[in-house]
Amino acid sequence: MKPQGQVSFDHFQPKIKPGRILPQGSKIIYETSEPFNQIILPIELADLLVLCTGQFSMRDIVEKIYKRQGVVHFKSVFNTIYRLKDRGFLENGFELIDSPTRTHMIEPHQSILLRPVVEVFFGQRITNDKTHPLIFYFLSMSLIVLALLGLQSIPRDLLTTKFLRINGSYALGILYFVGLSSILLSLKSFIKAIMLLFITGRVYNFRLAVNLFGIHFKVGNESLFLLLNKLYLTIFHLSLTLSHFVGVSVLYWLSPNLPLYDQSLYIAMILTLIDLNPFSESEFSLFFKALCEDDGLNRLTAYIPNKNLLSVLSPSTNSRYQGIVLAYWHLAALWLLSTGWVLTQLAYHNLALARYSLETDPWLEKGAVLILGSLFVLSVGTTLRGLADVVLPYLARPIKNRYHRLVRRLKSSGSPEFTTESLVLTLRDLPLFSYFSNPLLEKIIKSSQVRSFPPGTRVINKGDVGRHMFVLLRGALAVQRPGPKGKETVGEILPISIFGEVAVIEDIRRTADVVTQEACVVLEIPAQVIRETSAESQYIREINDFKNAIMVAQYFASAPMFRNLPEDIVQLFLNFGKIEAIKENEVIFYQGSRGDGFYLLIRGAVGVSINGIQVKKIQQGGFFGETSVIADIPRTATVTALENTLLLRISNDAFWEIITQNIEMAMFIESVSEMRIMEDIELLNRGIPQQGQMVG
Amino acid sequence: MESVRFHHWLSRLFGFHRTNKDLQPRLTTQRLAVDNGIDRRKAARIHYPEQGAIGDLPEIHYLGHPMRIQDISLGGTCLIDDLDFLQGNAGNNITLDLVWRDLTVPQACMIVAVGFNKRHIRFLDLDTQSYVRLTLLLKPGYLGMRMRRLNLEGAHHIQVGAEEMWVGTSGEAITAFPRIDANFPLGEMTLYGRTVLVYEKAPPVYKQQYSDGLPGQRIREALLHDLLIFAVNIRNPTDTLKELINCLTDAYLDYQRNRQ
Repeated sequence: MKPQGQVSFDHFQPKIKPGRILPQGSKIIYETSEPFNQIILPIELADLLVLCTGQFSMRDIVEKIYKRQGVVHFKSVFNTIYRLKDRGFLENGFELIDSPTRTHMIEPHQSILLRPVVEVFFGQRITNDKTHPLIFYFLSMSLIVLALLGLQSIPRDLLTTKFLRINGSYALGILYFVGLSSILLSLKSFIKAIMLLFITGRVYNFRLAVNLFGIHFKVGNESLFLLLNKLYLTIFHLSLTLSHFVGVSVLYWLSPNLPLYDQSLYIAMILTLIDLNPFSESEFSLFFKALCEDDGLNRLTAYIPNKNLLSVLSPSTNSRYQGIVLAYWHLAALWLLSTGWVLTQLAYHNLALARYSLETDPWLEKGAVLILGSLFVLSVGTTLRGLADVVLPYLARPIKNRYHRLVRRLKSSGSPEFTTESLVLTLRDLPLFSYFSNPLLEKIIKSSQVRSFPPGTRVINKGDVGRHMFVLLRGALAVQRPGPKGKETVGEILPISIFGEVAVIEDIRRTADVVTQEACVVLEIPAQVIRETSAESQYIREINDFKNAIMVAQYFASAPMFRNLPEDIVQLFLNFGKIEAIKENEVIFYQGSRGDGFYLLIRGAVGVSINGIQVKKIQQGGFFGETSVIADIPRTATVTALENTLLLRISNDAFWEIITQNIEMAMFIESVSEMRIMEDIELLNRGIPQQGQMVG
Repeated sequence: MESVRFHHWLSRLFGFHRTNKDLQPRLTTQRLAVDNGIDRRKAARIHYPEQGAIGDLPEIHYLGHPMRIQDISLGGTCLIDDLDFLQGNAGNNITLDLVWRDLTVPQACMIVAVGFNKRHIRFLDLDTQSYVRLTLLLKPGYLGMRMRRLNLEGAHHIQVGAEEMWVGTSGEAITAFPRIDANFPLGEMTLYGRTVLVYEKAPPVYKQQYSDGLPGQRIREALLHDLLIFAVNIRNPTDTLKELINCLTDAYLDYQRNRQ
């Protein structure tokens, strides 16, 4: 459900905070003040920033960018708007509804334990013209060595120590905890500021933050974008993670007689565990995010569901990063085990005493115990929630699929007896039948027959002359065609869908088998009835229009990528598209020629060839010709009809008009285009024989 | 220099060869097409600098007389013929000489249109050598034609930290800086992922470290040549841009003089 006052991406009118564009080669930095903030973007998106005045909707902006540049990088635009929103660059960002198809991985959420309650800004930036990578390197390596030495001196029985019970008082323990963690967190921020100054030459946004762990000094991560080298990134995050141990170690080396060594180490260990949390914004997850984020992952971000980084990454995400991803998974598992062990030990060694304290101690102590208990529960809850974010989707997927199947079955079997009235209501939802008035629909239904088929029955045989058109009311069907390895399933039909309509439109033989996958109920409509009634309908002027409507509607109902398109967009395709019949072996367009349209393959199959070599076959339900229209380049391949083919041709202008209405579909088409162009490049790099020039 | 070497051996030692691409411009269809040379088109034309043929661009001679060239493509050329040297009407066949640096090719042509001082010529069966050479020259010219000035109309909320900004569709960019002093660069140009600083009285240099050069090092002649063709093909150049083009032209002539 859409929250009140929020609008969808297409209708959102972004208003960017006033700022400056700083060109940097092929990139731009957008900089705002109060608080000082920077974002780095590809230079092509400068127009997008300029158009974010709050006066234009995203549809208008996309259209304007197209008019200015001749091309639009839809996914860049989509991701950039959400990044601007997440990073607080949009004055009206709260109006933009969060897309269900978008991930939050770009900005992982901060752990609830360290999330600031209050933040007071007291400085914008410190800059240094010259960077000192050597000093940065030796400083960070020294910190790592010091921390490792400090780790060596951790007593084995640290976890058996009574946590935060100082001189028999938990209240004192909490005071000590707040004091020391404030010092350690401030020290970490101080080290971070110095390291950023040495390696990037700038530090931004100094503030005082109040959170559950106390009051501490904090600096922003904004200048991290300048740190491009992965080695530096590694040692930067590692030294910061270990900095808590450095603080404690140095303190006790300098003054060995200071008390509460065990408690200090305990606090440092807890802060380090929080810094290593793979489920929220920590040094650990920021580091892995930096290692893994590349163009490949960015391409996916518009399509992967809303998950944290760990659940987004799987070894199959990108083979180039398999090692990193596996390391991340293993380290995350190790973190879970360690955290689980620490929490168990804490509970085991402190629970009895805490309970005793609750029963016997004064109210101050009781309050302290309750605070510590709440923090403990919060820590356990946070850990389990992070784990659930990763594990549950994997466990839930098969259950979810079963649930959807069950709901679909229940829906289609809701009315055991299919009456004419219920069928009229059912058919009315199908775009094709919306052309008919109710009396006509009733007439069609009365002349038709409701039939049941057991699983594995052929409803349609390939090669038969079609005399009926069908509507699947219940069950599931598979469309099968002969392939090199026997029968291949080329599509699935789910309720409520029309099938077998081709033979109704033309007197040709069935082109595929349709087999029931489970028990099915089908409405069988004689073709003759359709022909007669369609001629009577006042909504359909010509039989050809009716044919086109059937074919295009069928295409959008069956093509997997367009199945979920809103009806108004399908209608746009219908209005702007032109049906073209292409004979077998006829060339639809040549490689190198001017791109003058986008094609939906309504029926038949086409071959794609580059430099005279066929590299691909596109089947019914696919589309082609998008690359040259999207990128405004000549045709990258020659496309030939492999059999008698029907196409819906959308001219360039109409294509842009349609896809600016549905930016998610535009992003999908753009992704396919990118994928295809990369495949072509791979083929070219492998050395397709050069039979002709690419310019055509 | 020291930091560069340090970065280099450490990267190798730890095997971190790749940089963090988080904030690098992402791949787009347009970039993929341009980077892999599948955006070449027959209709693209290369404009000539005002000084005439420069670099690898061919001269066109008619009966031994060099003609002024407006533009050239794989299909034909447009000549500026103030003195009516060609004396032909539309439909007449003539032979022009395409004079490359190392080669002169007689080319059969047809006059297809005659303007006030412009003659539109179509190549009849373009010679293979010329075809290949022109094809290679098309890319920077085509990229130049796709450049446009950043339009700040109505954008009162945004300031630009540059005097002028020109943006391409696949990462090409030109930024003109405000004039501070002679030692300060006039602007920077980005082509083929290389950002180059352009000075008034010094040759253009790389801004960052690339596989073919270090920051502050003079750019390769081939890149300078393509930058020049790229820049002269930008439509509706401003005076500032023309100034940048002049600096590039001077630098290119210097390179040629030094080579001789």
